[in-house]
Amino acid sequence: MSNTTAVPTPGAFQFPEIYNFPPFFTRQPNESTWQEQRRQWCDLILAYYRHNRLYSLTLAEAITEPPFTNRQIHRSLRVDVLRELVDDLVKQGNASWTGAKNAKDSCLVLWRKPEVWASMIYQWANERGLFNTVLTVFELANGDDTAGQEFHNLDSVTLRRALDVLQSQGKAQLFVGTSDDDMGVKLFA
Amino acid sequence: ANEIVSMAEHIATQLNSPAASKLHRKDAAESDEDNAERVDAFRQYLLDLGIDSPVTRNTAGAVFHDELARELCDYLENYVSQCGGTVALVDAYCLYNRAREFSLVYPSDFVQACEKFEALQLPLRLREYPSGLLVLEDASSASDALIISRVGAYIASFGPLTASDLAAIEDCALTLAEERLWLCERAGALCRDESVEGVRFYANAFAAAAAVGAGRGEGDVQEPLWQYI
Repeated sequence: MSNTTAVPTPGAFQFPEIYNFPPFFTRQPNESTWQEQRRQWCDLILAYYRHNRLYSLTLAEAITEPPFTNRQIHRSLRVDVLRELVDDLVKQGNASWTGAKNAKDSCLVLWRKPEVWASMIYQWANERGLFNTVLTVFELANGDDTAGQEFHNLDSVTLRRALDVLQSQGKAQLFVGTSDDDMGVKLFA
Repeated sequence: ANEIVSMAEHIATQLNSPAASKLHRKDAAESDEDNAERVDAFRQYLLDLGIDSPVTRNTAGAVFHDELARELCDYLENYVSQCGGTVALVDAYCLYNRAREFSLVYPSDFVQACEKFEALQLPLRLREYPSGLLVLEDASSASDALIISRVGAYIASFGPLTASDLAAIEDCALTLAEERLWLCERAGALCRDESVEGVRFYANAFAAAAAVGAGRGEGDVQEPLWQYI
């Protein structure tokens, strides 16, 4: 079975037990307690974003919604704590800040690293014999040929990151079109 | 009141002076016997009110703080153990000074005397918490481990606690209850929940989860499997 076949995500997201524990939403002063709390939050963020196929996060808006708000227990994560969590995700390569430099208001959540997306796209192109043909980025993301692939309907910023990785690996060449949708890419062996 | 206080201090000094004790000597003159009776009567009044022959700088001189330390321990030991082994220093100070009535002790002298407890191997200890709170503790029974296990047991029975909940359960000052909760938090036994309702402490579920995670082994990349699907 090709490991790039999209796995359908079943139903509603299953929150971990810790999500209903009120202290989970308070930044713990005890350092080792915080390390564990931080780890659980990072796992939760990535799992939630993957399940719901979400790619970007604007901090001020996100804290009013799940997963950063749990309405059942009337608790919300504070925005400065979320900022600290995103900094951790950035350190482990699972997020990157977007928007104004040093503003830290919004970010990409890379629940799958661009390198992994890149190799999926490359493998698909190889299987379909599409090396040395120019494809538009649009058809790569949204075309019929990629239906059923994991990267089908991939968010454009994340897709662009993946293609940049391929370009830096010498496996692709990007061509700028008149707009983002017109951007082209040629993959080669 | 100043006049009365200074008069009383004067009398107390006189009572404890070498001249006063001479009145009791066997070869004292007869007229001195009346004086001796009056001195004894006055001493009795002091005894009824609180401290008998209180230690003052005049009576003890250079070893004032040592003597004061011994007197403090004598007076406060029972009170401290009745209060569960720990008492805020300010409470102990007020209690003691109230008993001394006229010959009050300066706060600095009080603290200096308390600092000598350990050196003099007396049964009480002065302890300073990280927040700056000073307490007197029963040297033998007030250990951190005891506090942690006690508070853990309360939470297991009554659920998550605020500082005022703990103060009510232990019948202690609010500041002391806070210190105990913070102590348990520093030790990793508790974690906190801050909300508009205040700060409430829970048993540390994160530590339990971390203990489970430790079974994964060090060096294992802690990435969920789904990332590689």
